[in-house]
Amino acid sequence: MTYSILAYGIPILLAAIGGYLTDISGKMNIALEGLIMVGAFTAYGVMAATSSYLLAFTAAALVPALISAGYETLTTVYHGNIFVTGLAVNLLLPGLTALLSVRIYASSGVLSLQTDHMLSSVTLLQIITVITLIVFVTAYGILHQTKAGLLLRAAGLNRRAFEIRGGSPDAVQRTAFALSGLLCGLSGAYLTLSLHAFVPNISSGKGWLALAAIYLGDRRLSGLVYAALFFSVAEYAANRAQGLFDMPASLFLGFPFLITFLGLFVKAMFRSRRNDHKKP
Amino acid sequence: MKGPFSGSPNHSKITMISLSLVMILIMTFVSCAKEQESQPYRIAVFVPGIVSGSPIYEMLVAGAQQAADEHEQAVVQVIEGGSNQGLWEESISTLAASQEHDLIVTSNPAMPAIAAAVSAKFPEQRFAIMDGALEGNEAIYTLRYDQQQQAMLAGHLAGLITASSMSGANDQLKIGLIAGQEYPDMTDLILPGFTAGAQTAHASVTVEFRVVGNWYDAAKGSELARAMIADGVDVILPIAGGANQGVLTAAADAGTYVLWYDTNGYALQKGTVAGSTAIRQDKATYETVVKAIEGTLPFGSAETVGLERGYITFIEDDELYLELVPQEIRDQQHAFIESMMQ
Amino acid sequence: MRRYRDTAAALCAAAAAVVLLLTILSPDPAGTIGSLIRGPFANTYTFGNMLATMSILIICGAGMTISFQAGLFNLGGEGQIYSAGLAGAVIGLLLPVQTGIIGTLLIMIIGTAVGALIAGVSGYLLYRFRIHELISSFLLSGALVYFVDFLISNPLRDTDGFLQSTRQIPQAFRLPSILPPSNLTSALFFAVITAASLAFWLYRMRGGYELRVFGTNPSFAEFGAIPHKRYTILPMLITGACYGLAGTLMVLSTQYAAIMGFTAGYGWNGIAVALIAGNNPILVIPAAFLLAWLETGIRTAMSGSSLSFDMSNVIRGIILLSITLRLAGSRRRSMK
Repeated sequence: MTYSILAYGIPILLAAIGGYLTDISGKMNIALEGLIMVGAFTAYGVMAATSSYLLAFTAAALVPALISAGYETLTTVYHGNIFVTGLAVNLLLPGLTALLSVRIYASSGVLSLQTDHMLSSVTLLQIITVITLIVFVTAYGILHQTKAGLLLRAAGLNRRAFEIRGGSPDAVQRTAFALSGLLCGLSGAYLTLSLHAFVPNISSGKGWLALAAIYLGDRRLSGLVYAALFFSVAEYAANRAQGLFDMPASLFLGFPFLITFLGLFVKAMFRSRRNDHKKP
Repeated sequence: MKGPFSGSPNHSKITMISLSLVMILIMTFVSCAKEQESQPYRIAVFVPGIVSGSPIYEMLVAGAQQAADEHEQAVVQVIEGGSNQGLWEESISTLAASQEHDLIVTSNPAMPAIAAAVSAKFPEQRFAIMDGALEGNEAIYTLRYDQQQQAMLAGHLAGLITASSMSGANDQLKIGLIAGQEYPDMTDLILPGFTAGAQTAHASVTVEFRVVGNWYDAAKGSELARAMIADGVDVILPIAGGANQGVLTAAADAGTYVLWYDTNGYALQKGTVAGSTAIRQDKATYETVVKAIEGTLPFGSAETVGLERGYITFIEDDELYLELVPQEIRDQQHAFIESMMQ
Repeated sequence: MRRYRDTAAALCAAAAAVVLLLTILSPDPAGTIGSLIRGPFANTYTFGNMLATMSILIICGAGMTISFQAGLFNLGGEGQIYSAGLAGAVIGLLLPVQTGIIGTLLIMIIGTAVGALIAGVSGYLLYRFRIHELISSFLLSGALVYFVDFLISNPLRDTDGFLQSTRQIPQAFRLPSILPPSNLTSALFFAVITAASLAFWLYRMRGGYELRVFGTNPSFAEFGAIPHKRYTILPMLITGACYGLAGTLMVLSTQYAAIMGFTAGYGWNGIAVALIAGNNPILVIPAAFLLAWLETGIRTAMSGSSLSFDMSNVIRGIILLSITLRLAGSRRRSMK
């Protein structure tokens, strides 16, 4: 159970931290889904070529980081709308990965890794969990204890004031986008390496769930953990429910969304009742 | 400066004009480059999905291509429809409307209904549909594989393995089927066939059935497989596209078995894939298209083919199968296949 | 003037990028580009289909402008279209054929109501419990899409056919065709009327004015006694209603049934259209035309030459990217 919940939640949490950094910088990266794909594909390519986990993770982090920062820059320079360019990038990246896949490996289907000297799923999960912990603690430290974190939040809170003080909110936002790409890349790399294969559409909506986690977590860093945990438990429960009840299996597919929605509702209801009490 | 919105109409007008200009420019350039050749027998292969990475569609294309290659007067064009069912009818209609193809070849249980709808609008168009069934439409020929038979082959081996003393088999008599989605052939033919096959091998085997919800979420496929394995399932048949990969990984981790469907899958994960059925879509498509070129394809009829004529096979001669599965089980499976042939 | 030059430059760059890409990757670049551009105008069938696609995009996009103008974000378009389409198909199957045109209207009204209701839930939750409408609409839509999938593939499936779909609604309820055998129907008129009336309301009537004030500056709106409740819920209702209408129109004019997954990303495209149009319901019409041209062009290119499915997504992405980079640049108000 712990395995299942972590294996499902960690990729979402990583991407969500990335998305959260862009969100507080004042400009949200909605291309997480596509960036996870790119990370997953890069990890496959490097792993297949070098058999090195270190290189695979590094490359998978760098490539999406570059793409993310690149499209953010393009959008800023040409005054585009980051939301639409994000949608476009989400369309573009899976298409490009598939084209590259056909060019390099003559297939846009499942690409398997040689499994002879691969780590077991459990070991890999332990590694990615440690990485995620480090990422989380670092992000927490930077955001709340350092000047860089202050800058990041300031860029999001008040752009004008930031500019007047002589800072460059664009540079801050670009950094946030690069970081979000990096984290999505790690998330994608984990997906590929734990499956021992790259599968088309491997991100399967995890990028979107990561965005949802930001709001579900009340736009707080610690909230992301709860949100990712909530998604994972809901998913786990839904997967289990398929076997437990004598009902058509496909009835349970939407349950993670529904449970999360209800959770959000219940939480808000309690909060509003509490507030009602406080008021005279 | 004008207001935020008042400036925009002009703006998009100019955009439209510049866009049109660019396009006209390219158009003239393109028109010069294009020429029409003489009229051979033109075949369009419509793939309701993506060819690359899908063995069934790769075989479809290969079969049609081979037929065309052997006939000088035939050309093949491949069109990918993508996985959105809602767009297939429109894509096929667009093909039919262009009147550039003597025959549209496609493959999928859903295609006969779509072809029939298109046929109502474009009665001249001829269709040959693999893996689907529809009788009585003079424009449409269909050929289907006996999915129930194929699932029975897999089910029988699964039943034998789960009751065996193979290292990955446990005491419980539970086997599993993981589907991408619930679709008519799945619920009406494959699942019952799989169950019947397994219970022929061992009467008290039960079948667990799970649905991924799509054909790509490998992580979810893996998770569903893990949950099943934890419940005592030791042989799983995944029919879930890319999500099969997740099932494979989960089973390999747990040391249990997976059966493969439609193509030879033994080499995908040594020691895990314990059995594999295959369909000969390439052969079926080749023969169908050759008949169409020669003008002997019986449009309006629906054929069902299976084990007897070699369109469905259980792959018994793969070394990995011989290595992994004990002689005794292989003999029983072989006897079952022989009995199905009768 | 410089802005227009930039726009042209951006589009040329996009065109150049596409041409370059096709030259490298396509076996027949000239043919592909040709059908990409001329495809929609090649015959009445493809032309009609382009207008049909445009009709749906107009309705989705026009609806989306309203919540954007109010500073709200409806991310649940897919679920709203899908549920409304299913509701429409079910009503169409239940109603007696004799009701004819009244039946058609009833289907449209119920579908519209279903869409409005779903989005309205998110609006209400935002007003009453301060649940962010972006997340609640997304989650609700996610759950509904799977639930509708379930309904279509299980209890409501047409067991005689092999498509994952409900039975087809009777001929009597289907919208009259324009340009047969294409998919174009009188849905086009509904689309134009929707866009025009929303624009009129938004720019010429008090309600629309208040909504825009509320969207630009909610605290200022409070001073002006603009009811917070109304302009949190109403825009979501309108957007949902439009998505619902779009869903039923797709059933009434092209699909004739609720087919599994028929929404085909219209929920997302609605957002893109609204943003490209700078959130002006009238400008949604040319924006939808542009996207419909692109979409139909790509589809004809895919059936006419050897443009692969993956390639088509890349081209979609590149063109969407370049249209927005300049067109959306004219928008001053950024997303919240």
